[in-house]
Amino acid sequence: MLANETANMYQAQVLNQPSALVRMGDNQELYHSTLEAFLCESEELITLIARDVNDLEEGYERSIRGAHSLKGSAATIGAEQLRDAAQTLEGILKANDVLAYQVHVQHLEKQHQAVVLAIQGILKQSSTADLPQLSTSSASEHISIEQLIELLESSNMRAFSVYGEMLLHADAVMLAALEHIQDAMRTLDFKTAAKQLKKYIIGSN
Amino acid sequence: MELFNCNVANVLVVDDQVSNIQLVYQVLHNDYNVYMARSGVEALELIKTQQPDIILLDVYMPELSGLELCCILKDDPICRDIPIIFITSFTDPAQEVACWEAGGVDFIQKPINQLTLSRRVKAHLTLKFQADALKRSANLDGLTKIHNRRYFDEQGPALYSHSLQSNRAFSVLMFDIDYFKDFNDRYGHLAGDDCLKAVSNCMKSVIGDEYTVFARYGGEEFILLVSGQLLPQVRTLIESVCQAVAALKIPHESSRCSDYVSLSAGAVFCQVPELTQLKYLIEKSDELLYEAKAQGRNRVMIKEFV
Repeated sequence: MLANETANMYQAQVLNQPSALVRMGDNQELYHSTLEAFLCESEELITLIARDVNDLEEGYERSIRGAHSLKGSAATIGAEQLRDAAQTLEGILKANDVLAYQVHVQHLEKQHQAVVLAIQGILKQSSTADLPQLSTSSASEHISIEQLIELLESSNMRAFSVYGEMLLHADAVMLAALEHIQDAMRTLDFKTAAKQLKKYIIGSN
Repeated sequence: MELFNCNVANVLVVDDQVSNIQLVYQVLHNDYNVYMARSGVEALELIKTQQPDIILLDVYMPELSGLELCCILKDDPICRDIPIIFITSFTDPAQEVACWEAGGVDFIQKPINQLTLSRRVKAHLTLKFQADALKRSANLDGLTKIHNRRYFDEQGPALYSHSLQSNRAFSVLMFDIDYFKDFNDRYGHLAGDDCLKAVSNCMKSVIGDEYTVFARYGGEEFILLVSGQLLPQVRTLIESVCQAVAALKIPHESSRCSDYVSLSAGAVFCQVPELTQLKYLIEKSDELLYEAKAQGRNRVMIKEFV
């Protein structure tokens, strides 16, 4: 109980959940799916910021973009300290202040780690609380793999929900096909996912 | 009054961040068809096949920024009327000005408030559908429901310039219902209205939509512009239209050229449109129509512009 309370206090410090939930219409499931998306995406942004800053002008531009994107993502989930850190870093990068960057990027990484830990705690709690899944498509809806390919090729976001639904009800053969496109689906690279799926089907026939 | 069904609307989200696309999708998926593009270039490609009703556009993207994409779309006559809402975390007033100047209709500030997002999208979709309905209604002839003179005056020159640019043959065809005044005198104006409706719908069903402009030009006169068809094809088309109207077999006792409602037609075909002007071709086809009438009506006069 005490451990839980400490964890909650820690989460409250790095994540302003009430404010984020107000913006999301008090929709817990929506909030959790946004936290999951943040976990997937933010590591890449941190790498982008740290790696590219030394890489002449083009890399510098990418670092600014990374800091800008991280600022937006952090604000979405209510990670206000991380948002402020990313905003400061964006300003430092725009001002071309290399010394300040070295100091501040470490602070940003620490803030990011704290947010990641807090999110992991929240998602762990929610998985034990048995929250209903986001209703993104009707469970009774039967969609064939050809229809999924069609949705992917037309960049229809319904492909994303259908994919999730198919994963839940897939047999072993279907599961193998769907897992084959997992990375492309995670990054919403629908064109690649469609190509990979087609190739996989042809290969397995 | 036309009813709007926003649920069939296509919303395109353009953002280089997956989490933003997913968030927007989660908020809007129950109400609209949501499409996505992860870059400006991807969006341009997608818009060619999936014309969206509204675009939610991130400002800060690599390669082609949201502002640049917005300017490209506003310069394109086909995409210019699609409302674009910028999604931005900018706090700089100069950036806000740049978004308005690029042609955006509104902003949604990051972090996104789901209610603001859904209400703004709904409001702009409703405005867009109302504007579309007004435009459709302003371009249609109230009686026959085919395109009217206003539409012709707008779209005729556009089709002609397209022919000029793509070096395609161009034809102007004019049709007139024979002895229509006598028809009205014999059967009354209500029957005259029914006749006009039947004839125009019949003509429309014969004429394809692609590379044509067809409109009611005056009382019982119709005009058709055809781009990219050669003389034999134009001749076949004009004859098919006249035969289809004759096949309606609308009795016309006051006609002195047929027992049924018939058409006279004048047409001019131009292989190289850059040698002339649309106005001249219209005048020429009008003269040929008068010639067809002078020669006894219920006939076609077609000439090639040399």
